[in-house]
Amino acid sequence: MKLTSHSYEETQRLGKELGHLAKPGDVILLVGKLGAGKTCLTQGIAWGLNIDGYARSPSFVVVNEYRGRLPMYHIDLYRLDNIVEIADLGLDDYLYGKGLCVVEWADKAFDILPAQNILINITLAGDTQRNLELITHGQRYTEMLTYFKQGIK
Amino acid sequence: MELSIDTATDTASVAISREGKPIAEISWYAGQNHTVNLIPNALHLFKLIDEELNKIDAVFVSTGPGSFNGLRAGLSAAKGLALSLNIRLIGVETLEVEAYPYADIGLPICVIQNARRGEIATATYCMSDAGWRKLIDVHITTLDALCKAIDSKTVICGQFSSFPANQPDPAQLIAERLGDLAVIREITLRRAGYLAELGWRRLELGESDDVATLQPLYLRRPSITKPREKKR
Repeated sequence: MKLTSHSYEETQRLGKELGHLAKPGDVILLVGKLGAGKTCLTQGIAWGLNIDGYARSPSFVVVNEYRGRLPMYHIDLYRLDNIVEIADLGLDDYLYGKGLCVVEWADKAFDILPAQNILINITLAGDTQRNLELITHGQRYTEMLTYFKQGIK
Repeated sequence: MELSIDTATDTASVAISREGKPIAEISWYAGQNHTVNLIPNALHLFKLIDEELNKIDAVFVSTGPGSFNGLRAGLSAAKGLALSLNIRLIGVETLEVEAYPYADIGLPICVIQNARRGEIATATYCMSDAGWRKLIDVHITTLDALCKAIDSKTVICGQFSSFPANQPDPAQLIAERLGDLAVIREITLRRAGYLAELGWRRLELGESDDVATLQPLYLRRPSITKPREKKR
């Protein structure tokens, strides 16, 4: 599924819809350059989980944990370059846990991330315009995308 | 007096024992909050029996397999105590702690644990005339392969609730596949009192682990297709 967001706020709204749909154990992978809006989308997802406040990019702490309707684990692989280093972090406790995982810079570690996921590619298409491509892997995420389409109509 | 620490999975447990016989124990569902609850609960336990932490002369710890972060919390606490009090440290496999309560059934005891990615960690132990011993070492396999491999009556136990809810219930699957061959026991809380007994056995044999080198039992490096980077 492809769609275009025209503003920061619109990207947040899309995220919020994803947050509404999240179930325990879900994994959302985000791919996009610096400034593409990964953290912006994550902010929306957090709101969709009834998490108050603002999600900050966990580039240096790698994982931020938020408590809402479900726990949200906001993981950022930006600072990590070596996949062995990433594998050593013990992210499995989160990735196969009971909350929602949102992984920024997921393309750095596809091999060690769950094979079932929803992958969102964000690309810059202007000052505030962003193209989003949503790719699902697995039945659960196909279902999620179906509801997502209905939700954003 | 010995302290036993087990934070290997979602559940955690602490016990105090005298010569391997538990005199106090607390077990709880810890989720991912082992670091928050472990020390307060251990201290509470000492208060309950009017004893002091610095009187222990050995520490036993559950070494996995299990949760990455849980194991680190338990191992660090145990190592910190062993170093600062200058006492002996003994690591015991988590699956062994889970098998031990069923020792008196007199059958091989196969423990299973959710290893994620559709796989399980398993090991088999047995109490026989020769004593308590391990029949099959801890390894990763699938439930399907395990069922195929079992050809004699066996106790099969584990924390079944740790398996994903969207997949077939392991207990039911084992029952269907193995019928009378399987004696199924679900473990709810894993109890450090058993860890105390197992740790004490090793202590009596004169064994102990090196505080510097004892490691959590991680069974699997994730499958990585990219070649390992050369050390600079």
